[in-house]
This record gives sequence, C-alpha cells and structure tokens, in this order.
Amino acid sequence: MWRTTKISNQLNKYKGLLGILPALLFMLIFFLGGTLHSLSLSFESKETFSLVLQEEKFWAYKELINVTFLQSIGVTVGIAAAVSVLSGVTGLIASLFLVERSRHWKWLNIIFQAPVGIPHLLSAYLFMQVLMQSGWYSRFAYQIGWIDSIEAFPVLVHDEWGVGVILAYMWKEVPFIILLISPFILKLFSDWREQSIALGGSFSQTVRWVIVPILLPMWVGGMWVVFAFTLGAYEIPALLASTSFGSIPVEAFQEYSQFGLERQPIAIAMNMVLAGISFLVGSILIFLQLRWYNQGRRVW
Amino acid sequence: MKKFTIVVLLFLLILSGCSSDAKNNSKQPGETSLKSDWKEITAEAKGSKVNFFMWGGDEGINRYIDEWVAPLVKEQYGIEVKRYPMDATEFINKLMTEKHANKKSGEMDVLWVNGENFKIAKQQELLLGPFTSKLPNFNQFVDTKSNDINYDFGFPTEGYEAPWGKVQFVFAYDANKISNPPKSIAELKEWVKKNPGKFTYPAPPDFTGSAFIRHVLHEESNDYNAYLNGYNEALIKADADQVWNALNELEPFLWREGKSYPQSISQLEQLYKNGEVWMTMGYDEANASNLIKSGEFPASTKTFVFDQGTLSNTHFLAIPYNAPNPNGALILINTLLSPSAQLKKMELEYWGENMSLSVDRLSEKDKKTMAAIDRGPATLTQQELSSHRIPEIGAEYVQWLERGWMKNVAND
Repeated sequence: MWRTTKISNQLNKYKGLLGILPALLFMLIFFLGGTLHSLSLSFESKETFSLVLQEEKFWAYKELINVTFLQSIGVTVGIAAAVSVLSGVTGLIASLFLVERSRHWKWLNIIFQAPVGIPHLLSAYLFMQVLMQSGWYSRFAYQIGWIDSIEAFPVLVHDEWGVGVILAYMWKEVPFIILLISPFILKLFSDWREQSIALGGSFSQTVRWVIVPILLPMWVGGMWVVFAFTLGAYEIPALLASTSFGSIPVEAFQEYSQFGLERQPIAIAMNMVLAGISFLVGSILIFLQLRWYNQGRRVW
Repeated sequence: MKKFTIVVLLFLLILSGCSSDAKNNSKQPGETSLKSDWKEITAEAKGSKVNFFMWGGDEGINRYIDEWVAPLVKEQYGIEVKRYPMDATEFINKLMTEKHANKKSGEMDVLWVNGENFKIAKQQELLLGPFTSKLPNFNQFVDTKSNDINYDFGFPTEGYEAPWGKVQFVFAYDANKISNPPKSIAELKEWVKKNPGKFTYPAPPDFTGSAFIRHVLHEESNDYNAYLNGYNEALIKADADQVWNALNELEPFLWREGKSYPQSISQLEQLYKNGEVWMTMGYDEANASNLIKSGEFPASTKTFVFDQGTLSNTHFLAIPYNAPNPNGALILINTLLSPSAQLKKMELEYWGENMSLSVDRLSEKDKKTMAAIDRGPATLTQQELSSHRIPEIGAEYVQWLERGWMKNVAND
C-alpha cells in the first residue's frame, strides 16, 4: 500500500513536468536536432560530394567574411528591426484606439484582423499588383489625370530603400501585434480604468502608468517574434526587393539551389549566422527584461 | 531529475530504433529490369503505378500529362501514372538524402531533368543506369548520333536520360511598337539607347535571364566553340570583362535604369503585358503564341531570333537508382517518346513544344500531321528556328556567369 502512495506522490511531484514533456521533447528533437544538423552541414567540406578527404572545417564561414555579406547582414537586420519597431508602435497605437472604439465599430476589428489569415507570399504578390508602376493604383492615377505617365508613379516595388518590403511586412505584422495585445488591453482597461478614474487619472495617464508597464513584456515579445520572423523570411524580399538589395534569406536560397552542391554549405552557414543574430538579440531582450523586473518595472 | 533524464533517453532510444527498422534490405528492383527484354518489362509493369516527378509550373504541360498521357498509359498498359509537381533541385536533393541514408527503395520513378541537375545526379550515382537502348521508340525515332541527344549542357548523357523535347530561346516584341527588332547584341545596344526604359531581362540566376547573358557571351567571346567541352576557368575569365562591359553599357538604358531587374520570367512577362517594356524573351519558341492564345499577350506580339542564332537545348527524362517501379518507368518514358505523344505535345492546346524525335525517321503520315500542326501566330517557322540554333555550354560556366553577373553587373 505504501508503495502506491509513494508512486503517486512521485507522480504528483513531477506532474508539471509530465505536462510539458511533449512540448519539450518536440523542442529537443526537432529544434535542437535541426540546429545541430544544420551546423554540421555548414561544416561540410567542399569535397564531401566528390568523396575526397575533408579540408577545412570553417571554409563556408570564411567565404562569408567579405564586404558584400557584411552589407547584407546590415540590410537584413536593419529591415527586420525597422519592421518590428514600426509594426510594434503602429500596432500599439491602433490597439489602444481599437479598444476605445470597437465597442461601436465592430467592423474595424474585422478589417484589422483580415491580413493575419493571408500568407506572406500572397500579400507580397498583392502588393506588387497594386503598387508597381504599371499596377492598379498607378493606372488609376493615370486614368484620372493625377500623373502624366505611369512612370511618374512613385517607385514602391523593387525600390532601392526597401520601402515596398517594409510596407508589405507592416501590412501583415501590424494586425499580428493587434491580435496579440488588443484582447489584453481590453482586459486591462476593464480592470483598471474605473479605478484610475476614481483616483483622478486621465485616459493618457492610465495608458502611460498602468497599461504600458503591464503590457510591456508582451508588446516587446510580439515585436521580437516579428523581428525573428522577418530576419529569416524569404517570400517578401524575393518578390518585392530590388535585385542587389542583399536580403540574406534570398541570397541563401540562391546559393542553395542555383550554384551547385558544393556551395550548399555556404547557404546553411548564412542561415546559421541569422540564427546566431536572432539568438543574440533574444538573449539581450531576456536580460533586459529580467533587469527591468528587478528594478520594479519602471517605464517612465 | 534523474528519472526525467531516463525518460528522455528512453524516448530517444525508441526513435533511433525506428530509423534502423526503416532501412529496408530488399533487393534493388532496377537492376533486374535493365537486364530484361521489352516483353518481360511490359508484362511485369502491368497493373503497377508510376510516380512522375516533374516541374509543375505550367498549366498546359500538367494538363498534357494528366489529361492525355495518363489515360493513354492506363488504357494501353494498365499502368497508373501519378504526377508529382516538384522543382528539379528539390527532388535531386531528396534523392541525395536517400542515397546518403542508403535507402534502397524510394518513391520516384521518372524524373524530368536537364543540365546541372542531371550532371549532379549522374556524378553522384543517383540514376539507375543506361536505359535508353531498351526503349523501342528511342531506337526507332531518335537520332542517336546527334550532339543534342548525346550531350546535356556539355555533359555526356550516355543513355542515363532519354530526350523528351527541345526548346529554343526566342525574343518576343510588340509589332505595334517596334517595326524592326534588333538582330544582334550590338543592335540591341543601339535600340535600347534609342528607347530607354523599354527593355530589361530577368536577373540571373533566373533561368531565362541566365540564358540571356549567355547570348552576350556568344557574341562577345573570341571563340564560343571553346566553351562546348569541359571547363576551363581561364577561358571564361579572359572573355568575362567584355561580357560585363556590354551588359553594363546596356544598364542605364534598361527598365528602371537598371537599378532593379525583374526577379523572374513571369515578372518580365507581366511588365510586357502591362506595356512597361516592349520586349520579352523566353526559352520556349511557342510560349508567346501560347500567351496570345490565353489572352495575356497582345495579339500583335511576334518573336525573333538573332542573326547569329539563339540557344537551344534538349530536356530529358531519367530514372532514379532506387525507383520502386523501374519497369513502369521504362514504359512511361517509351510512351512519351512515341510519335503520337510527341505530336500531341506540339499542339498549342497543351504545350506547343518541339519534339525530341528526328523528323526524318517519322512515317509519311506523321510527317504530314506534323506539318499540319498550327504552332501559333507568333511562332517562327521550323526552318527559321533550326537554322539559327546555338548549343548550350557547360553548367560550370553557366554558374560562373550567374555569380559574376551578380557581382559585376547587379552590384556595380
């Protein structure tokens, strides 16, 4: 009898662990396994395919040490940072607005949530169709006489600065941020609004001193997800960036699929660099968050 | 915590057990079918299923397989043909992984390959073996001596792949906007300077864009024929500057002043369709006619080739080393090489592509059928096309040029 109690005690003790076991195993097997496998692929010798002995382990990474690739890192990280910050700020403002108004205007919520369901590839394609110089808006503007020729329409697709890329991402990611934080804001408002009014706080004071500090970890987390996603995503820069833009996912895909087997390790190495950057940024954010908790969650 | 580690280890152990079970030790079916005669092959294949892995990006080609080939093979041989759309790079990678894992029986029976991916497949021993001499239709109708059957982008085929069709690069233009299209790279330079913004080409390594810059190599290099055999980096390095100079000379007069190029041929076709550019191109002599027919290109679209010729290549069908149904694969490939299937393929309704068979070897009746096929209003005559053909060069040169373009033209 005592034996069973001991077992059930043990089980109870590890119940929490059992609950996360499937997710943990999934992470270990697929995520960690995939990372290790990619790492080993990126160390693969040029000669593996011709079955000669290995030469240098880090050759693929050494190939990447050049100005062009450093510029590509700058462009890729820069675009991802711009997209995440712009989407984060726009999404936050829009969420606050939506929470205030959506009680009357339910359709606004629907409009903001529609893009979430549309794949990135399709959204890039739609952007191209409407915004290129011979696209819908350009032809419309030409028809009604706003511009003299379709070439007078601003270059928003394949432009030098990645405006089209950022816009297309924002169209997808702003709704994502809204979807993530607006239910939470709604709840915060219903919990805290009356209390802060009772204490004499205005709407903007409620937002600044109550909503934002509680919301901050989730909001930053959302932007981090957007950053990590944008860093590694292929479709939008492939369709909307200019030819020599330098988005690493696009370059990695070209190396992987176009320039012969012996260059595939370079493609994997490029992705490992991206994974490293994203890991680094994530670690910094976690560190900052912990420090922030320790310092009493002060924002302003 | 110790217990937890044990659980994890146990689970991993079970998983690793699964993978060693999966290695199957049955004999390789392919080796026997290469030794059988055609009668045995036909008998063995009856009632089986053939998995055809091929690029799936063209609706007409897909319909040709699904609506015409598959029912025919089902009726004649009782074999079910299942088409799987997949890019060649992808299925070659898949095959390579299977080879590394020593997987003896795969899932692909017939592959649509050419150029670079065939070369990899053959070098890595991913293919079944020389099989074309088994095929009655290959022996009867294909010109087995000709270079475009025996070489695939400069790489010897040696019977490891059977020719499925031939295509030729052509330029397309809107005859309402251009009366006298340029007939050489030099004339193109002149034309582009007079009509800034109205010409561009897809950015290599796109397949079509890459072929376009090889035309520049053809006209700017000292001796193009030297590129047809083997690989010699010194050779292309010596000619490269002239190629980059010619392309950089064009650049400021291209669409968007060459600051950006279309990413793919479909994007260039869209620019042409919208009237942003006045010319387009394609590695398929009947494509413009196809697009006129579907209403995407203006009816005033015509095609042309350079006076010194345009690139042409043959594309092929191969059988992987671990094909589960090699007999069925042989039957399917033989059927695809039959005059009736090849003639059907030429019809604009499906594909509109040139046959891989030798016209001289066709029966009188088939010759007449062929002459009667309407290849569309924009397609040049067979005579015009075949008298302006230049051969493809080795895959290493192709890749070298693509990477060089990105460095010396796009980034400059």
